[in-house]
Amino acid sequence: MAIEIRNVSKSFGSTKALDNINVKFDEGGISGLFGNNGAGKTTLFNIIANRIYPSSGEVFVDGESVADNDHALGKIFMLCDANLYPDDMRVKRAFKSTSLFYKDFDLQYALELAERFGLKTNKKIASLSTGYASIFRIIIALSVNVPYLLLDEPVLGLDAQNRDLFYKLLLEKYGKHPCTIIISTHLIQEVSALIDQTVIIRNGNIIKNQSRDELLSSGYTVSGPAALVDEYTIGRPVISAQSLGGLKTACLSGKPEADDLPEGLEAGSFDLQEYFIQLMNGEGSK
Amino acid sequence: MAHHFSHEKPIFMQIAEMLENAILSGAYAEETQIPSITEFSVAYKINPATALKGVNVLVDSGLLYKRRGMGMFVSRGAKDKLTQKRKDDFFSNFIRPLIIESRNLKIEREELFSMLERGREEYGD
Amino acid sequence: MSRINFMPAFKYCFRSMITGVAVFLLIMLVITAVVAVTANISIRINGDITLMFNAFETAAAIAAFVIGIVSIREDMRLLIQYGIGRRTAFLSEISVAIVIMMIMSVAGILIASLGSSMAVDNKNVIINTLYSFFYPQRVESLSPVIVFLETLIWNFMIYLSAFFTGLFISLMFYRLSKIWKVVAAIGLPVLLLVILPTVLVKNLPGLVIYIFSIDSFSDPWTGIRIGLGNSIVFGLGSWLLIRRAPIKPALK
Repeated sequence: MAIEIRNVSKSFGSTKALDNINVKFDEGGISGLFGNNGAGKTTLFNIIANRIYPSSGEVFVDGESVADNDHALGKIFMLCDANLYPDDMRVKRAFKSTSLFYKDFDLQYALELAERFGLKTNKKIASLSTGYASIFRIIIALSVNVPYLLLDEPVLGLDAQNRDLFYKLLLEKYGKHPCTIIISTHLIQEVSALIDQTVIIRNGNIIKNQSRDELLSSGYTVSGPAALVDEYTIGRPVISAQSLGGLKTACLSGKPEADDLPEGLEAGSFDLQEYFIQLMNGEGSK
Repeated sequence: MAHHFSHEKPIFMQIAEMLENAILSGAYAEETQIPSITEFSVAYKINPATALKGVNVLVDSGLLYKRRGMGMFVSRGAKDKLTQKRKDDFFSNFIRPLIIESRNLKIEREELFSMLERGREEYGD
Repeated sequence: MSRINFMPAFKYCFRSMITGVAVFLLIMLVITAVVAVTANISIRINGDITLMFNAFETAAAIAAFVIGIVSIREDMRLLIQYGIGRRTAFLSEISVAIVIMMIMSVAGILIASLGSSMAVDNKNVIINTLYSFFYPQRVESLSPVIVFLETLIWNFMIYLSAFFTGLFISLMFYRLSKIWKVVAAIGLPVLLLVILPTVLVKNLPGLVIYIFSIDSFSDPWTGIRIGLGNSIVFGLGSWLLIRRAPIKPALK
């Protein structure tokens, strides 16, 4: 049971937004989808939720194709910053409408959360500030209880306290009602401990699809005098490198051979966001 | 719980260490129940699978056990077992390098012991 | 495991459309009542005046047209957010339209009767249906039951036809690129006002004729057939436009 994306490509006119994407999000995990602006994350989400159609390829949810399939689509809930609600609809009305479509929607919980976050339920959705619009959307996402949650930049405009509350509520919900969660965000470091499967997209291609721990242990840094670093990196797979005067730091893939590090060089590791940045820097220079 | 996880070590290992410290300090007493995986994951904002992995490190070394239908409990004798383990770690991480370094600096046995005494006096007991 | 989750979509679209329609009907009822009462009064003062009032059908047809334009976009956006595909969204939208246009039809007849009864003490004030205005000979010669049914179906088809026209125009503008939007903005009125009426019904100009199928045809069934044809053509056209449409949020 999973979301399977098979050979999906999408072009907008002459721009190729997604190029033959193949990825599987297994049931029950929390995954992260990362990529720079314009890499294709939102396009991919939109295709999974059938907001747009792929130019080629198909998306399967639990073995069923999503295209025009209410049964498959009813298992997915997508949160994105696009407001698809009618202009004059108020928050409370939206909550009630949600229960019409999702039989497991917990209206009581949604109203509790609204109070907790300080969201006035009689306000019009279109008049909410960026932060409260996000709060409105995450409340629905947390209360809808479907098997697959797609969260596209869920914490846009949220202050640190509310972000913290959101992650805790998400994990609480995940513990109580297990589901599959895919988070797409630029706040890589904030979610790095939450996620397991990590998918990195660049220019419409998936360049990494591994567990977070695997990814982090798949690379290391080497720092020291530039000449020594250069010598060390000969014949080794380098992701990227930076210099500051005579000092140089190189990011490499693989594992440092424990005693093989020459005198004067220091090995280190990176966190997920740093790894992502170095990966993008390295890819850019190709 | 405010906690910053270092990226030098996998998160689950850091969780395991935190659990061990809690057992040693008595915060999690023997034969009492520790918080659930969900509680850990929410408190530290980590993936439950990671929390579970950390807990399982202690289960594998016999420090925690599962009571069916209830959850994870601290094993009897866990504190002593851990203390012993930490002492063994102390030996390899501190004593061994100390001996090697003292040999490099040619510090004799008597001087070494008087240094230890001085250390104990200066930093309390 | 059905690929179509119809009932929630139908309920939502219905609730969404009925509120606007209810307001419209209420307003028309008030206007009719006011006309009935004031006409009574003024005629007593001024003497012999014949007043025929049947604005409901025209207003309702325009309302149906506007509903056709407005409903699909808002409803489709919310429906996709809630996991309802385009096929189901389209089917529920037109099912709801069919039910509501029938309601409007019945309401029109009721309001006319109500108006008539309120003005009943004055033979010079006549509040009746558009049908009776166009086809008085049928009202005279046919049984009241048949007149009622024909009025009902005739009105219904006018409204439905207007709805589908609005629907098609709305979707066309949704899917067209900028250049084509300009072409359509000019071309469509020309098509509806000049070309089609001339082609279908010679020498009879007017948007109202093609969309609303109102005219002094010899019998209402010609209009009903034209309305049905119109609905089907624009209905199919709308489906073709919507079936692979990308769904984006409204422009602010």
